[in-house]
Amino acid sequence: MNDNRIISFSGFDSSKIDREDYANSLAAEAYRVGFFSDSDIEKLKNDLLSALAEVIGYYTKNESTSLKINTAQMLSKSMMFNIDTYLLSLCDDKSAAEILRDRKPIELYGKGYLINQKLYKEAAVLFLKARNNRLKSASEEYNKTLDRYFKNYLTDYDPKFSAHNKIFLSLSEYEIDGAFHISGAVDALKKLIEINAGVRADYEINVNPSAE
Amino acid sequence: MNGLISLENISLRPVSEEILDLNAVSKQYGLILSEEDAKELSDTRNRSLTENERIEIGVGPITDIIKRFCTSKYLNNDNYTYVLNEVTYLFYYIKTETDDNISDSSLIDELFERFELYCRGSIDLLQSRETERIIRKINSGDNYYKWYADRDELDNVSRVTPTDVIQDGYGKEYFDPTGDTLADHDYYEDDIEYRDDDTEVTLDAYDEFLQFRELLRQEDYVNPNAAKEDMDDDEENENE
Repeated sequence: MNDNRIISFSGFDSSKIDREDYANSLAAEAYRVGFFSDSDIEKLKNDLLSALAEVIGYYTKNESTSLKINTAQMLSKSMMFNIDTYLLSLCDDKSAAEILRDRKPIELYGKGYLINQKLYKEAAVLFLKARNNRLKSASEEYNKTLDRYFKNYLTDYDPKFSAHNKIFLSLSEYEIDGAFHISGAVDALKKLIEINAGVRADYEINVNPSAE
Repeated sequence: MNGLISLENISLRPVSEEILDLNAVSKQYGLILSEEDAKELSDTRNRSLTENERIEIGVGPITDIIKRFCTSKYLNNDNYTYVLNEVTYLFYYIKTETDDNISDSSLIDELFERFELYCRGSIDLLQSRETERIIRKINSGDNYYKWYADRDELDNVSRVTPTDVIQDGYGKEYFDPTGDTLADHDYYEDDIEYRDDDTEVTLDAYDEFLQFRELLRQEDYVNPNAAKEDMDDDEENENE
């Protein structure tokens, strides 16, 4: 069976959908093309507020009904990032829009949290490997990346309440440059482990020649 | 469409109706809030949230504040609305100052207890002295009673002061002013060996002679060395 999926619904304009702010831009595009109605948007907003209230309850352990605006913004971003993570994993804008319209946001948040939690655990294991096999002589930026940047990032990262956090790396010599979410951090660590392993041989010696 | 979630207007909806519903609870204590009072209280809550940069989902703790404070023996219909407004404002201020390190219910309990026991119904004292005490207590954690507690807050726990630490280390007698004379003072280190009762002071020969001559002057004193001294005198006389 041919596994080529239709990446974009014929009515959606992919250029108007921002992968960094997927749920918001997808809902806006779906409303523009008539896929979402006014009541769908209103219901989605109310459901998202209810989901945010639930996330705030998890954060405060239900001991507080109010919190600082900065904290609420952080939780809101984390919730939307988890929802975006799950919707992007579907690889199809139309399916994502249908799910966003029909399913509860807190459910999407939970599914996205599981994906990010798995990535976080993988990053922690890769980080240890990278540190154990580090290059003996490398630049200061390389050592800071392993000793400080990744350590601080993974210590502070929480897939529930700060899933949207990025790590900023600047290893131009290894082409690892920019701001990365947790999935990008995993890729960066994999690349660092490859670099630590060194250049691979371009041919292999057959130690078990076949009998002639 | 500016995003699906907007935090700006989340918590500023009026809660007057929920406040008025609580008259059913407070009227058994003779306290009733009118519609204007409820609206004023709702506005105070919104103003406090805005000024302290907070948001709130739902009605919040204002209903718990009313349920608790309506039982106070210091409230009557004249000061009921005023006290509730001030306590509501203080609540969100303290939550921000303590970085949300205290739960809603614990803070309401703390405010009520201090209002009743320490302030005896004085909202001015609650706003000034007790608010700072609460903030310090929550921010200091276990160290509050050691560092900051005032006398009326101490039960069996005493505050550790620098004087306590020195007295425990050196002993209370070190600072006893009644026995403090020059000869007893530590500053004169040469006197230490003479102040020590266990030290034996050895007399030199002249002191011993003076003591012995004093004894001889006593009429009933019998010299134990008399016979030997007589023999020594006889030998000297023979040699001469």
